[in-house]
Amino acid sequence: MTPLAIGALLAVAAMVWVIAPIFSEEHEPDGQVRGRPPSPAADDAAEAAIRRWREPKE
Amino acid sequence: MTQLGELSLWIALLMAAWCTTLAVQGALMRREALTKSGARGLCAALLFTATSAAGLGTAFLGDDYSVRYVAMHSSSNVETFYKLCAFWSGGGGELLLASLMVAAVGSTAAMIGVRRDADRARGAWTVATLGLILSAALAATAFKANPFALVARAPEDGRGLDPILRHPMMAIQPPLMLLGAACTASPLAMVIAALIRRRFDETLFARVRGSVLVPWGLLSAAILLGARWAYVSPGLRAARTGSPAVITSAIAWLVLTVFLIAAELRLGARTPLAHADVTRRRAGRLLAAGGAALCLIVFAARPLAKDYNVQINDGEQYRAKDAWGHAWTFTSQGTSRLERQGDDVIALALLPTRDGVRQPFVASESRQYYGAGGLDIYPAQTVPGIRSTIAQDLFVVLSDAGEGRAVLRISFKPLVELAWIGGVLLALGGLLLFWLPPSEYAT
Repeated sequence: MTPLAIGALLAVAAMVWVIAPIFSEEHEPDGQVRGRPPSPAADDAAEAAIRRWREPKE
Repeated sequence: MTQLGELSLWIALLMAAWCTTLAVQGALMRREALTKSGARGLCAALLFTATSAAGLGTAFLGDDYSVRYVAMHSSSNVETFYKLCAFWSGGGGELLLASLMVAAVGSTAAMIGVRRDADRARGAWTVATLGLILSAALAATAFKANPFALVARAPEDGRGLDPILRHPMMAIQPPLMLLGAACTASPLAMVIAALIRRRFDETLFARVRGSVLVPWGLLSAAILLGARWAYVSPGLRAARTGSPAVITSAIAWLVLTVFLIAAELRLGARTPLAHADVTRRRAGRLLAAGGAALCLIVFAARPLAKDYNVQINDGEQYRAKDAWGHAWTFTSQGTSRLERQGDDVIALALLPTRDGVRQPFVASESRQYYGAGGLDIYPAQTVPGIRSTIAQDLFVVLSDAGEGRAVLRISFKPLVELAWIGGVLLALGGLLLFWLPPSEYAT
C-alpha cells in the first residue's frame, strides 16, 4: 500500500468520524431537531400544554 | 513518507477550515451537532498535522535531500540528535511544529469548551476561533514556507545545520517557546468568543485567567533559557532576533503579563482571600520584588564591566584588572588544532592568576564546520570560555589564531550570575502571585 493510499484511507476514515455527529442528530430520542417536525407524541404533549395554559383565561 | 507528509498537511488545513465553518454554523444556527462536528474536525486536524510532522521528521532522519528544506538544514555528517533539531531550525519546520502544538492545545480546549461552557453559542465561537487560528498557521505553512517543497535535482549532500544552532539548548528552547505561544491560543479563543457573544461572566474570567498562567510560565521559562543560550553563544542574538517565532512569543508574553497584572489588581481589590492565598501572594510578591531588584543591580553594574582586546603569543603573559580592582594575569598555553569529521577545532587555553593566586584554566574554541565536499559554508563558530562566580564572569572569546599567536577578547562582567538568579526568582514569584485561588474557579 503506497503512502498516498494510506493518507487517502486515513482521510476518509477521519471524515466519516468528523461528520458523524451531524447524522446522529437525526436519531435523537426527543426528536427536537431544528427545522424538522417533532414526533406525534411530542405534538400531542405540546397541544395539551397549550390547552392547559389557555384554560384559566377562558 | 514525504508524500504522505505533504498530503497530510493539506488534509489538516481542510480539516481546520471545516472546523471553523461548521462551528460558525453551529453558533449561528444553535445546532450543537455542527459544533461537535467542528470540534472533531480540529481533532482530525491534529492527527494529520502529526502525520505531516512525522513525514518531515522521517525525511530528516533518512537524509532525503530531494526535499529542499532538508537539503538546506541538514547534511549526512550532522549527528542524529541535531538532525531532529534541524526540524525546527527554519521557518517552514518552525511553522509546522507550531501548527502541531496549536492543533494539540486547540483540540483539547475545543473538546472541553463544547462540554463545559454553559453558553453553547459561546462554546461554538471558541471552537470556531481555535479552528481559525489553526487554519492560519497551517495555511502559512502550506502556502508560504512549505517544508515539503522539492528541488529539481536532488543534491548528493545537504548544506548542514547552522553551527550557531548546534547546541543542546536547541532541543529545549525553541519547542518550549512555540508551545508557550501555542498555549496562548486557548485563552485568546475564549476571549474572542466572549466578545462576539458579549457575555463575559465570572466563570469565564476565572477560566481565562487559569489558562493564561500555563503559556505565561512556559514563555517565561523559554525567554530565560533563550537569554542564557544567547549569552553563551555569541552570534545567536543576531541570527534569531528577527525571527517571527521570537517576535510573536515576546509579544504574547508581554500581553499575558499585562493581563495577569491587571487581573491580579482586580482580584486583590475585590475579594477577601483565605489565609493560605494571602501568604502565597505575599511570598510571590517578595520573590518577584527580590528578582527585579537583583536584575536592576546587575543593570546598574554594567558600566563597571571591563573589556580587553588582546594579542598574545604562545607562552606570553597578559596583565589586566577586573571590575573590583583585582590584578589578573593570563599566560597563554598555546593553541591546539583538532581535525574531526565535519569540523576543525582551534582551541586556546589560558592559565589565569588573580592577585597572584592560580585559577583554573580557561579555554576558548573556534569551530569551522564543513559541509558536502569539504566546503566551509558557514563562518567559523566561536565557543567562549566562561568562568562564573557570583562576583563576576570571566569571559574569553578567541577571535583568530595562527603561527604561535592568538587574538582574543577578555571580559570581566560583574554580577552577571545575579541576573540569572533574579530572572528565575521573577518567574517563580510571578507564578506564585498569579496562581488562581481554587475558590475562584468555583465562582
